[in-house]
Parts: sequence; C-alpha cells; structure tokens
Amino acid sequence: MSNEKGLEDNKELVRRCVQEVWNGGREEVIGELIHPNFRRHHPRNSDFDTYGQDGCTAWVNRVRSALPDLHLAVAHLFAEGDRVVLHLLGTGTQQGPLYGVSASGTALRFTVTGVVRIAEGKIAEGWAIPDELGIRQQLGLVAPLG
Amino acid sequence: MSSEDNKQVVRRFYDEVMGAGRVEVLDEVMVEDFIDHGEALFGSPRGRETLRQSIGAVHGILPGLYVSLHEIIAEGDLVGVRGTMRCRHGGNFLGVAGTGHELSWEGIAIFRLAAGRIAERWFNSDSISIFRQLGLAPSGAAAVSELG
Repeated sequence: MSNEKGLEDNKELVRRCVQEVWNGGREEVIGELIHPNFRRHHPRNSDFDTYGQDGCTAWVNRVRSALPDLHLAVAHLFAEGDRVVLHLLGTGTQQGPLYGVSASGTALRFTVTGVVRIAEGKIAEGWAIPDELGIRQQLGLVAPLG
Repeated sequence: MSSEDNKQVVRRFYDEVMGAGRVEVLDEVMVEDFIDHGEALFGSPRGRETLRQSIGAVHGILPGLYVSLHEIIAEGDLVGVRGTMRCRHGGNFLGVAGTGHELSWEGIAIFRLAAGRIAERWFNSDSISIFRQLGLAPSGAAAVSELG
C-alpha cells in the first residue's frame, strides 16, 4: 500500500470512520471499515485497550452516549506506507456520564491526535491521544493551570 | 525538500534539541515565527525564542529528558511522530518538588515544514499520566478513560 492510490484509499477509509462512525453513529459500517483483529492502544494502560469490531462498537457507543452530538472535524490527515496520521478538532455537549461527572450540558472542545495502521483495506490498529486534561478542566474536575 | 528530508529535520529537533539540549540547533531546524498548538498542559508558546527558553528551563527541571520515536510518518509538508518522553523529576514540576523519580509519557505530534524548517506543530501528550505520576491524580481519574 505504498502507491499513491493506496495512500488515498487509506485516508478515505479513516475519513469515513471519523464521519460515519464517530460523527454519524453508524455502527453498521464498522464491519466494513474496522479489521476483525483491530486493536486500539490506550495511551497509558493496556488493560483499557480496545479489541475487534465489537470492542470498537462498544467504545464508540460509550463516547457517543456521553457526547451524543459529537463532531470531529478533520484538521489534518496524511499517510505514508500503511500508516495514516490524523489531527481532529472535537466538539460535543456532555449529556451522559464522563469521567465520573453526570450529564452537565457542558459544551466541550478538544483536540485529538492519532496514528492508524491499515491492513487488508481496513483499520487494524490505532493510537490516539485526546486532550483529556483540557476536557477535565472544562468539566470542572481540574483547576485551570497557572 | 522531500518527505525524507523533512523527517530528518524533525529527528534532529528531537535528538539534538529536545534530547541533547543543544538549543542553538533550533535556528537550523525551526523558523523564527514558529507557531505551536499544544494542549491544556503545555500550552502554545509562540515563536522560536519562546520555545528555546522553555526547552532550556525544562532541561533544568527534568534532567535526562529524551524522546524515543516509535514511528515517523511523512507526506507533503507534514511529518507525524508517535513517541515516549522520558525524564527524571529533578525540580519543581507543576508545583511538585523534585523527587528524582523517572517519569515517562506518550505523545503524538504533527509538524508542518516550510523550506526545510519546522514552521508549525500540533501535539497531544498523555497529560493525565503525567498528573498521576506526580501524585496529582484529578478526580474522576479512576474511571475508564472514555475518550482516551
């Protein structure tokens, strides 16, 4: 997948995942976009890694139940080999439990940066870091820093 | 400049400037009006001189600072890196006096290059991990990281 068309296909796959799955909540396309052996690496605790299409569905549902109007805008998306790098600008209204905070109606804004590995035309592995500290500050869990 | 050239510039930024603390090398690898887009913890210092001062200060507080790059991915004028930052908690960091403990956390950054130098950067670090290693666990931290 190092030719130019392959790179464009890989980017389109990731773009579809953001728009249809994360923003649209269309879990029926997960089988088409996510590899059966999918693994998402949690930034600091592998006990929280996400595995497979079912794990991905549960993860998306958990986030979207906290932020039903979640919107991830693609700020950057680029590719080399079997990897795609993405930078997202997220917004969402907290209407369900998040980090132990019950629905507050808080309008959240946050960034996410991530790297995705593509295999056999599907998303097979991912690493992503959202600005969790910024989200916790907006929820009032952490005082703004100096 | 090719993508491979751009990657080499970003590697020099991590190895020579961030790792070895040779802040004078910034002039070769970064434009003067560099724009940074960090997250809540590290903020968004503006300009090469501001970053130079920050890196100098950080080396005083966090000796042994080193970023291991797990991968580096480039296309066009953009370079993405995924890495682990390691250092020793030598001095006052986020209000916590130095303990000498090793600290490490994950980060992902995207760089835009212009004519062979870094012009802009967007990044996220696992700030919650840093907080916990410093004993500053924010409330709600025990819950599964729903977004993370």
